[in-house]
Amino acid sequence: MSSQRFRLKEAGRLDRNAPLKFKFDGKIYEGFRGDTLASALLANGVHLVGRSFKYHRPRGHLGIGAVEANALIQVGDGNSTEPNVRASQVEIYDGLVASSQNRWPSLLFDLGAVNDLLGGLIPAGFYYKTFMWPRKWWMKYEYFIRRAAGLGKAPTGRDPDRYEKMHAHCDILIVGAGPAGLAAALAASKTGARVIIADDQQTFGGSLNMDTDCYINDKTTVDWGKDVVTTLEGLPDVTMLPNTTVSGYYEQNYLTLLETTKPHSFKSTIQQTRHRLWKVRAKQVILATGMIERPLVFANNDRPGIMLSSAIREYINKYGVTPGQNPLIFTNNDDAYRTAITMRQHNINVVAIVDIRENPNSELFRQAREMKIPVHVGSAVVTTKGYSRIKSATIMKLSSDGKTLTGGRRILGCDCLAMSGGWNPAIHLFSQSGGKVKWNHELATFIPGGATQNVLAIGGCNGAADLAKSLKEGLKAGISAARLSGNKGHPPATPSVQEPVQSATRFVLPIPTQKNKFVSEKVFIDFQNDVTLSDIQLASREGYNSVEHLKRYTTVGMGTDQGKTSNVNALMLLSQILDCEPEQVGYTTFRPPYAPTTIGAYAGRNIGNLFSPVRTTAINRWHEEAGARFEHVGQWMRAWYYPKANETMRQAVDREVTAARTNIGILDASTLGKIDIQGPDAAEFLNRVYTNAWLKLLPGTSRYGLMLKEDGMVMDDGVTTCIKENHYHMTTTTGGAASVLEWLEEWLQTEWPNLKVYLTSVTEQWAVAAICGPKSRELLQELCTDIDLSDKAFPFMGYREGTVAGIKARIFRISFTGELSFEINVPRSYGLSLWQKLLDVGKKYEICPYGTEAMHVLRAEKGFIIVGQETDGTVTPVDLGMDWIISKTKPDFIGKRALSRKDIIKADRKQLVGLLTDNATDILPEGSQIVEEVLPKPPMSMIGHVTSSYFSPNCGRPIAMALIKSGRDRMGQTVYIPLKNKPIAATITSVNFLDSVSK
Amino acid sequence: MIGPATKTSPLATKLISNKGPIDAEITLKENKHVGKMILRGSLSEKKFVTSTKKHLSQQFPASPNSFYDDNKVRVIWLGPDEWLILSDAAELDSLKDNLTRALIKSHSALVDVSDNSTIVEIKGRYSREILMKGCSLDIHPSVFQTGCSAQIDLGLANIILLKTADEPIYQIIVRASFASYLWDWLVDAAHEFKVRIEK
Repeated sequence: MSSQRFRLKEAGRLDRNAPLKFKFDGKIYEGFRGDTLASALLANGVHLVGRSFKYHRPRGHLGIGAVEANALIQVGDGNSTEPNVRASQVEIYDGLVASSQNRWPSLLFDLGAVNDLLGGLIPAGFYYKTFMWPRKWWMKYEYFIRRAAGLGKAPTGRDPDRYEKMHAHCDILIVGAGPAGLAAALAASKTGARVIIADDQQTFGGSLNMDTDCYINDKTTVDWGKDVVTTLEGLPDVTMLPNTTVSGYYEQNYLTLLETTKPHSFKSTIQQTRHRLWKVRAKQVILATGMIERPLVFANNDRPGIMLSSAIREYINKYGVTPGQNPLIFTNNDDAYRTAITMRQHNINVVAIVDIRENPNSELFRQAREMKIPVHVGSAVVTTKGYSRIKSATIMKLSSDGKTLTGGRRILGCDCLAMSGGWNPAIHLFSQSGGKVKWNHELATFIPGGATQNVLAIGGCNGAADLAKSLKEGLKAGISAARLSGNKGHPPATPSVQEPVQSATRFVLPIPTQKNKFVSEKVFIDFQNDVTLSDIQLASREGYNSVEHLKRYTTVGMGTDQGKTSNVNALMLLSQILDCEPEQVGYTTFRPPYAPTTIGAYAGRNIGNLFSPVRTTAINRWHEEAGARFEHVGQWMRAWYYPKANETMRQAVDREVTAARTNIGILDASTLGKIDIQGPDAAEFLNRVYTNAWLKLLPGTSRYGLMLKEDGMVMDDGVTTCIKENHYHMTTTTGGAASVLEWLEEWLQTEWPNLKVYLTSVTEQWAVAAICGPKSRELLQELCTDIDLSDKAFPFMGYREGTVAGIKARIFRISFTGELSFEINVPRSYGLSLWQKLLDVGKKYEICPYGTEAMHVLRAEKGFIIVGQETDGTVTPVDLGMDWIISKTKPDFIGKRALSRKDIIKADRKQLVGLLTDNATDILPEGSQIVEEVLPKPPMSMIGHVTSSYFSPNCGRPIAMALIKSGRDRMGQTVYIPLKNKPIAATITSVNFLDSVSK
Repeated sequence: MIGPATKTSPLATKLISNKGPIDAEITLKENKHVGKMILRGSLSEKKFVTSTKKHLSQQFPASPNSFYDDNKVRVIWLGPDEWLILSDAAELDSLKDNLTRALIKSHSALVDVSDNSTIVEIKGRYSREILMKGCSLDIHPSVFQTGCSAQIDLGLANIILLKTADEPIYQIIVRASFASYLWDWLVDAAHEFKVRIEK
């Protein structure tokens, strides 16, 4: 096991008493609790952590936090493995397993690196240009290109981790808990405002944790930050979310946040939540997302060991780890001097500071000099050497216009290079919010311009380079956002700040390269996508001068990194090439998510048994105990059939169907939609929504009705009963219950507000047991003594109220099977009790429970339709042969006008007919196409399709229903169903099989 | 041979016995067999308002998205012309009959929906956090106060949510066939807390 050679004796906010072991690429390392994978690897001197995307060049840690573009790691193993995780955002734990990506066979020796040598042959647009011909081959090319370009590998099995969602509302959402964000939270929280403050780091404080040379109110920045955090923690309406990346900013101040609820622990036995996706609606948003340091653009600027200067300072101050013992600093501004000074203070041998500026003049410059750090002014690093880690850098003088190199070369040995090319505000979320960005000359970067939502950008995100300004903006924004969201209060006093004063930056982009080289050296702009300076130049030469084209042609700013470190450099280069202001070049649109988000977080808990609600009836428990097989009908779970021991489905269904016609069958019909309709205009209302006549339906009787859409197509059907004057009970199909109610309400509220009708859904108020078969009256008689059940007193389509098995019941004498049948409705809570009693008493009549499959067969034997099976939204009642149900005398009903359209009345529409296969053992597959003439292979002209098909035990043969062009004119004709193996011949018949087919 | 008819609540299979610690952070239970009826009518009809006040509650109607308890009934506003009335199951019939008689001359509807839904009560210090996992409404106590109601989705089920006390106690009215899903959802959402289930 490696010792932590690069761990500093002091510094860092780690628990040094808690050593942890983890594995990277098979080797065991040690770190401390509080380390990230990146800081722990750096402590062990591991810089080489990956291979680049296209050229497979060795890559190391570049930045810290979400800014990291290079160190993408595969974390975990098995099905909980996650690819493309930034090493700087993985908190280590004992037993963590991680590995490098995009290399084969090993990280140090990667065959793909041959691409680096071939670099000149694969410039931007290479794939587009090369793999165009022959066109058909793209599918083959793509397979190999994708393999070669892969980042990490996705797991193939089920993700064992738990993900959750959280909905939250607040007055103010503060993004970023650095100095500006914390100041804003402090000011806002004092007004009592509801505040959520999120930061993607484990520890709040942002730059406060690394600016050890600053003081706030005479306290260290770390202590000031801790004090604020302590204050906020005591407030009930402040929600603090560390390890949380605000990833999306949408309309109406709706934002999504991805919280990593604890360090990744991939032990799949523990169902702890791994990520939580917060959906936040904020009255005001404060963006305190800080700044991202910009890399310098010079030859071979991508070697492991070359890092952003501020990241190095953060690794030292936060994790007590130095990325090198002999660092070289390369900068165009004062901030990198702070890194040099910090390193020197920890007795690290700073080789030199190479400063692009000719006359740096600041307190930091003098301090560095006093510490005897060599400073090379007006100079630049022109190239670097070192394969798996930087070994040396070549420096030269820059001409006064920065466009050429002068003087001699000087080679400086080093094991790490800190670069600082200026700062870019992290404006991603501001841009996502719809805000415009504007160019700032002094900072040479884009800063937030006009906002389109209730959002304030403050501190570094707003271009504030110093601590004092960040704090001031934070306090001001906190109080103003609090007031705008309806809270009252005054801003806290502005704290006194001591911080180094910084002088101006000199932007030289790119650093000129040496001319006398045989091979042109690569100058990287986008580390993650391997986009070089020459790619940008090539794109422009080829005419891709719009930023959006540049992005797509070169891939600059794409990938999981989305150009965090590359965009501004690329745009500045483009503007130089085009000889215009960067503002004229513009900026590509930022899109969510800001950082990669696990797909599992979007699914949340809507998985497994919670994927979709499973609706069950009051009698469900009995079905389960009886061993029923179930089928999904919409969200309902309905008993499909009840197999006895060793019975096949066909045997069970045959038995159930036969019983329902010879003895008694019993069906759980509870799922049918039910609507209570009341009011003086109820009959008129029914008369308008159904196709047949309803004005004269007497209390105690029922009628079957069809509902059409305005286009004349069948929408739903069902039986509606007059309970008493002005009071009706409507039934709908199981699937149509909700949509029919909405449909009826819409007509009442928007078209017929003058009709006095009230609708109430009672679908679930009633449990329904339908008993069917010649002996059903005898059975009911035993349990119901207060109703005369005789045919005369209680005829077909009648309705009675009474008591069944001691339960107040509504009984409908209606039938979906053609047999004598009673549908008994009781309040749902009595449903199970009623069912059990019917079965107990029915035993002597050999009562047989039947499921939905038998129900389908029974109704098909009589030629009754099922809406959604015989109809598909293009079928009229006439097509179904149900002309009898269309009133010729009513002035109007929904769909009436459409029924006289030319297309609706034409003769060759598809019409519902019966089909009997010539061979009485063939059962047609539902959905089969029907042809007049069988050709050797498709296409054949189709004249219709099979809508329902079953074996009918009561007919002793298979029966089918079909929609066939001019079907009713073809009675007796033979048609063919061309199946894969053989065509099946069938004869067109009437749909009432039971009466027309003799057994 | 035929025993008396028995009632079964939608969550009967979930609630076999009390389960979980006494010092639970979350307690879940079903308020079984509460009498419920839907009242429809127009507030612009004077007779409807006076009859309702007389036979139901003096406080009638309720303001939008709220409910109140009065005279042993709970009146929940569901829409400009729709209310859900809760009462003791035993007293529902007589309440309904009285009201029906009083409203005979006005255009209105009264429908017994006692079994159409059931009520789940969730209480305990983390109740709000659990609801926040599946409900997009702002239910902070300063906004969703005692007496507030809402028709909203919790998880994938449509519910009526009531804040019944200043303490973190909520009642969820859910359609009977969705009750089992909703219960499973709640138990799952509470997985990190100490949960007690009361029969």
